[in-house]
Amino acid sequence: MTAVLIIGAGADDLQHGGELDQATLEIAVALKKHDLETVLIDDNPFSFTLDEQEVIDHAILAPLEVEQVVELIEKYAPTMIIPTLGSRKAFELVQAVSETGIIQERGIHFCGVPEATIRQVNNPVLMSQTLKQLGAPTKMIKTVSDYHGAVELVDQVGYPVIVRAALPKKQAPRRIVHDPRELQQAVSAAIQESRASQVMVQQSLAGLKEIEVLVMRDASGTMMNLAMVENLDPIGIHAGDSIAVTPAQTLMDREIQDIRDVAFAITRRLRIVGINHVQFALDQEHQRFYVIKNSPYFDRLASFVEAATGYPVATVCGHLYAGQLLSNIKLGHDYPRHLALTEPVMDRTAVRLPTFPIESLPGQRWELRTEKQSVGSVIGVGRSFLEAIIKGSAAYYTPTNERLLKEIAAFSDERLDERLIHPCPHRLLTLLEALLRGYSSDELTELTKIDRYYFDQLKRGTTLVKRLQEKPGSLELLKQAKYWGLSDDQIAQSWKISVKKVAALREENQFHRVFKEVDPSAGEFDVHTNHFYATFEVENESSVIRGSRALIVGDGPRKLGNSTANDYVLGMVARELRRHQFRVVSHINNPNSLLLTRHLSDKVYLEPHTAEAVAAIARLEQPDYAFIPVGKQNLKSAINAVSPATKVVIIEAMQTPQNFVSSIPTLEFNALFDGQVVYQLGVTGELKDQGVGKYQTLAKRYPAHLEKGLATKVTTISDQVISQQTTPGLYQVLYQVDRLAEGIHEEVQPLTAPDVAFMTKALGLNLTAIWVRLMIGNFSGQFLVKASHVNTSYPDVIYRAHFPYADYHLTNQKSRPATVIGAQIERA
Amino acid sequence: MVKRYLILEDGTVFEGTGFGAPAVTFGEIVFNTAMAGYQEIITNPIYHNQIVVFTQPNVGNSLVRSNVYESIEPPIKGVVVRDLANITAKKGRHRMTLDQYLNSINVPGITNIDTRALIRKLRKLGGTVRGSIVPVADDHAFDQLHATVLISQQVAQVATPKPYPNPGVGRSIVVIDFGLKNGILRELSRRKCNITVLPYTATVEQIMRLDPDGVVLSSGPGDPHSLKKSVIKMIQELQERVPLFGIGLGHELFAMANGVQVAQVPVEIHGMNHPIKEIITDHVVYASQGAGFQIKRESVNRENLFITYVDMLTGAVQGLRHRRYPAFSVQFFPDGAPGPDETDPLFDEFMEMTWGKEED
Repeated sequence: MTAVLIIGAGADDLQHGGELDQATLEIAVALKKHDLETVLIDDNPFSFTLDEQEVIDHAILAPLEVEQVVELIEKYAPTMIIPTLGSRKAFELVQAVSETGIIQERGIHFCGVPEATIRQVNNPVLMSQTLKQLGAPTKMIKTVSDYHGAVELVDQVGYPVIVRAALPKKQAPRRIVHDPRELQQAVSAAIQESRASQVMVQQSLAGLKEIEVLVMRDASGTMMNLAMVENLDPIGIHAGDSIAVTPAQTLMDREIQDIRDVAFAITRRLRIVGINHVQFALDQEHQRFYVIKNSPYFDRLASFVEAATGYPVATVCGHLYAGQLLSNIKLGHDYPRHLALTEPVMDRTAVRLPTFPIESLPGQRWELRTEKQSVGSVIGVGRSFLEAIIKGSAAYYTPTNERLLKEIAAFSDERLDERLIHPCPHRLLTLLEALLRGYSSDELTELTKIDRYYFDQLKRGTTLVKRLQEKPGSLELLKQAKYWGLSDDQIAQSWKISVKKVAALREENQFHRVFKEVDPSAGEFDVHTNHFYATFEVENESSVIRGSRALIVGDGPRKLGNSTANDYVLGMVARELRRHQFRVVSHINNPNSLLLTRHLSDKVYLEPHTAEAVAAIARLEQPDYAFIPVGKQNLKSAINAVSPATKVVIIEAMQTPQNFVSSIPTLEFNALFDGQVVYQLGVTGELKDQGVGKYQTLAKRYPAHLEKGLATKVTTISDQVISQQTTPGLYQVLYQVDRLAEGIHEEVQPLTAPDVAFMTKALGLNLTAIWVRLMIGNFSGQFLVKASHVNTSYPDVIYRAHFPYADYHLTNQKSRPATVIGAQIERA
Repeated sequence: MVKRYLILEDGTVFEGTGFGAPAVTFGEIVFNTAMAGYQEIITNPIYHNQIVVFTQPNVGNSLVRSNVYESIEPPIKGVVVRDLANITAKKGRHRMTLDQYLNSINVPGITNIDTRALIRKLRKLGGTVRGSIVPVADDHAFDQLHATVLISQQVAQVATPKPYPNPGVGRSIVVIDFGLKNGILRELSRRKCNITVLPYTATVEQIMRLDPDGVVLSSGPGDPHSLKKSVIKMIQELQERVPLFGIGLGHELFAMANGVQVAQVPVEIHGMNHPIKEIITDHVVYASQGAGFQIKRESVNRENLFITYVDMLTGAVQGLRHRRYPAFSVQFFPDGAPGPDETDPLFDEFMEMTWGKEED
């Protein structure tokens, strides 16, 4: 068997999260179809794919370092390495591996990108040379030694320009200048700061439209444009922090084709096989555009495009990596022949909205910039832009955002203006507030650089809200409000009545939602992605799935605290349910969720997590079980109201770990309780870093290696505390250990998702699977005999949590479980 | 906004909101899956006798612009969209909204209908489905729809009755107007051609009197069989004397002139996302497509012609080339507008053919 080595992404961070695990899983599934031997190296405890033995033959829990990769190459002799699933870091890693000579020596092939391309992506200077040779339009940069040289560039590109020192003596600032006076000052200051008395002057693209393209190419040179995504916010705000929409709404065909031509030319030149994400700045006024970034690896765009278009992006890439061409990929009976080669078209609009950890980081001063600050995202799908964005925005109207919503409503006009010019997170809410206060589309475009088209559309929504407020109970308006995507909740607020009353009125008058399939051919062919979204139209396309079925409600956008571990648990729940012959129906709004994959879900509903949406799904599917994240218990009654036979199970593991700050080390006793017996899963202890002499918070070691006396005490107390719990499940008892090494019992809580993922890897025992069996009445204690055996020794493993403070430029922060963004696992 | 209905001849009624002109029109209902370029599509003269449904739900977003027309008097019969953008024209610009534009050319539109259900219905019904946009969906409306006979002389309706020049400084190209999409003129102008557009009734003598370096057979609307036999004869004579490039209807006529049979397609294909294989290179390209007819593959006489392009999804022949004469044709629109540029080099190929003539 030919082996393929997949380079993982490591700990989740602000730049990447679940989308890479999702793509890795789909690609591994495709590789196994070609009988390839899969080796995955990663040190991310939240990685689902690492624990998916069905598609990963060798899961290697090891640091993502050159020596480790070289060792693996020697051990498994892979003929191919996949560097496109580990973000930019994987590109840097494989280049370093390549520099050892082993790649060339063994004739190893990089899937997706030739080595020369990896070097160019890693080196901006090389990349800009390549783009220049191609004649691809890029922004103008000039090195000058005086003011006159700078003026020459300004004559060509106009103000503003960015001035900074070349070869700066120390860290030198970027200065944005808008007129000759500012330019003169900036140039003379920068000359002082430069070791070479030279200044870089570059064109500023701030304020231009940001367009992203996803190109697919195969080894024969066939290229397709999978999607064009338009960012509402202009250049100057990170694309990941902007509201994004596909298909592009405000581009002329000519602009689309010109951008497509350049994206194709770059992809061809870089000899990419698979996907290439190219970002552009578009200046519609002067009919010009610029290439700003080229990323031939998986990222948030690929997941969004897959969710929005229904085109199986990662699966197709997997087949290409296995050596197939787009023309001979077979995707199964749900897809027509050559679907892989058919450019997806949409008869729907999809919007991606970023979400920000405002409540988790109270010290942060929020203002959107060129650095990414959002942690998660949601997708809204509808049959109009307005419906899609309103559906997506349901994720903003949550209890955690209540304070923010009130704050925005109470803004003075001056403050609102300032917030329009200097955007803050949840930008949509400020824009809607401005529209409600009567700002015109032209004014808002002036302030925000967002295309007026979007304000004209959003205004339809705000006008509707105003009319609703004026005419409570109007059936005509209710019908319209539902058609444009407003939730029962929003209507109830406008009418100052209960949500239940709105729902009842809707029921009485037969305003029902229908489900449409996410079809990559826009209705031209018989394609079945089994992904659906709701709208208020005529024809329903979703019918109840046959057999025993379980509904899983997703976690929503990624949040600090559990980060992607929640999605890990959901993925494991789905996997185990399928093993027990359940058909899994997933209700998600996170485009990066594992549940979007065919490997885990038989059917997907891309819908907001509102009670009315889940009720509509439950009414249709009548599931045997519904698994709901803790914190969304309100959905339980919504489900049972329409499907009384459904057994609703709350996934306790998904609660955010409590803020448990302590200067003394903590012990965690882990166990499974089946209602009668407490099965011990061992004790985790906090890690003492050698040399530092101080306990590091949120780095822990398993097992804890306790003194015998303490071990007995902890075990006895824990056993007792857990056996008093009313519901079966996975539990953790926390202890503080003081200087006298006395364990002080603190609290018992459900084992949370990060620990479930970590302990699963530490024990080699799928805890989520065992928990699911417990919930569906299929549990046998036999499985746990090994794990609970007192004298069994486990390899020592260390877990280190990562925090995003540096990315937010936050200093003096205490490491709290509620702000974890990712983690690393390593053998001690 | 007024309530209007889209009715189909099988009795189906879709309730929606009217826009554009309040006229009542009848036509075949076809759908286009392109995601951009609504103005180019609406103004393409191939949509004579047809009501076009956009599968992309948001239409009208960029208003109507002076530089993206594909014809001056579009013969389209109606426009069906899910969501008409209610965009206001920018201050100081005199751009029309799609609503205003359709009103000005007396074409009705209907919005807020379940276009996806409509397309699934059309696919299920198969063949030509006629429909109408009406203010009241009563028996009278259906009677009228059933009684309607669509004009069969479609080319005569849209083609120029008189010759006109489009001067340039390069090669002299005659474009025979079977319904002319501006994109063809745009591509020739970009190559500096000295263009003369002649009516489709032009004789070989009239054409040759202009001493053209090449002749383009334009994209049309309608059924190639409805044209007189003299047109076929004209093409037969022409291909022996001058380089020829047929597009759309021009391709179908070129095929018929060489003994190939042409038949109606089961469901009309309009869009730009089908993989089209270039036979010689095995290369896959994407192009703007819009055809109600296709040539019968088995009737292609391989001694005279060879097949150059095939649609990989439908198997339909998309291109032909003559083995002896410098003449070729494509079913798709290499000028895009809207659509990809990948087949645009076909115009360069045509130019190269005309250089060959010079050297003789």
